Amino acid sequence: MTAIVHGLESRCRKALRWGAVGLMLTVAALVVPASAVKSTEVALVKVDRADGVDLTPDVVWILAVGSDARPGEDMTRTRGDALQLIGMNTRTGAASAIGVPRDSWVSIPGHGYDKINAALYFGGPQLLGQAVGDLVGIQPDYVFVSRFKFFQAMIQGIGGIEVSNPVAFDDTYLKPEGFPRGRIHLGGYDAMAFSRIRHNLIRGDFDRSANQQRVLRGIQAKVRARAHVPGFIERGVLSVMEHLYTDLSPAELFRLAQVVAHVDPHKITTCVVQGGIGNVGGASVVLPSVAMARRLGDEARDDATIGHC
Amino acid sequence: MTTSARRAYVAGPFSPARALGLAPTLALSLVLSLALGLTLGACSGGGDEPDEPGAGGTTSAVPTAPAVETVVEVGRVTGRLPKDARDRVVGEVAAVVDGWTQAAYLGGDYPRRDFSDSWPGFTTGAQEEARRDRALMSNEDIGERIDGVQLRRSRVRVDVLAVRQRAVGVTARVLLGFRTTGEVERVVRVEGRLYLTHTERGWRVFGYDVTKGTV
Repeated sequence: MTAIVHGLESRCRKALRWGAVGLMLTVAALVVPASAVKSTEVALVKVDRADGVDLTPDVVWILAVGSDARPGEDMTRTRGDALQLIGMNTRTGAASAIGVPRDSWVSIPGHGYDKINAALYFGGPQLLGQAVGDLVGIQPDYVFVSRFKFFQAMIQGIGGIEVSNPVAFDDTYLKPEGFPRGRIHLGGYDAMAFSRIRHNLIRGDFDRSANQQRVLRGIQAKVRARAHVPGFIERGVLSVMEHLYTDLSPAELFRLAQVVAHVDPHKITTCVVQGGIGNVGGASVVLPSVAMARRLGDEARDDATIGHC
Repeated sequence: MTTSARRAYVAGPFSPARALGLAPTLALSLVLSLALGLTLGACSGGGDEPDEPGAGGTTSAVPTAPAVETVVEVGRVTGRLPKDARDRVVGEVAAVVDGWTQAAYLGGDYPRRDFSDSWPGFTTGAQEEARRDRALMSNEDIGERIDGVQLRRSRVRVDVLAVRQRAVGVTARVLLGFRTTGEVERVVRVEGRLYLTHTERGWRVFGYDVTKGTV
């Protein structure tokens, strides 16, 4: 008798499935539409590891940045609109995302205090990575920068995503009809809007960061479902190469993409750094809880797992 | 029952040192791959059942059995890659895969206890992972209770990522079917994907997603 008995999924199925928080990297690597014209829609920069920063080799940290660059602007020299520090544990398949409100008022190396997203404008991905790293206590190995248009295309390329929306909200300009509460489908534009809206959210920037993490989870789930398709990852990596400014080799991208693709979605934990609202020079800023940021960093640094927010 | 193991091993920002340090690929593998005439560009032949009718049996323990050839196929080639380069990559990757299947399942003297060298062609980190999953990534689970292994089906399909006409990453989809003899007589099916990049020492497996089941 020839019958394959699929039984007990072994505990060995621990692997590393796609991950976390959707990692823009992953997404980009996998769903970016090919383009005949090379354009810088995404930037992925390997960050020189600072001396004294002890990163466990099995844990990879990526800072995913959504740039607010307008058409024609260099997205690596504008301001980061979405900041998610994402860790992946290649041994356990765990992944975590630490969201940082973009208006967090922090010390930017060499530039004094400013909103953290200004670091991208001042010093590009390296400096932004350093600023976020200083806040959380984890220096990213890579900084990945994308922009809205590209992000939309990515979502569209995978046929949209599903997210669990905890509360209905809308936005006069971006989504006047709003997003209902519950499990909802988001196409390219909607995913962008869902990630950007903050004005009608109770906790503003904090809730928006959490929504970004919901989108990333949705992306992860979708990509994971397609990762087994022959040529899917290869095609994605090749596509992203056409849009990418990076010092990573194609082989490194391929390996990163595979790692992300194997993050276990059940081992994804996400938190947003909380804080208060302040006013500096007439501008509204977030005064981040450095203690919380450091605690999250301490919890996740070695295993990409956060016990609680 | 089918069990599985998935690993995509990367050491931080990829360390070349960890990408190396592998046992050499079995030369036999390459010979096999080349000898069987790579069915490059061919479509998949037949079903996936490892014990399909007509499949002969070859075994390290029974050398007189008719040989079963590994069917090596080109899967998806993403990016431009000249045919000769493509053929070369597929042959090299097939050899790495064959090195693993020989060392982990088909080769050696059964009953067999030592499977510590079952992963030639794997990066150091991937070897460590595979060692943790050795019951699945080798015959460690039944090695001492069998006296032979008869190969029934072997197929490797290679998806290639090429950038600037150079292969930079490969996914090898593997299907292996064999029958064991001895105290434990069963047909075992190993199936899954290996992920490889090229290093100074050739193609190396840095991750895997493999299931092992009993037919």
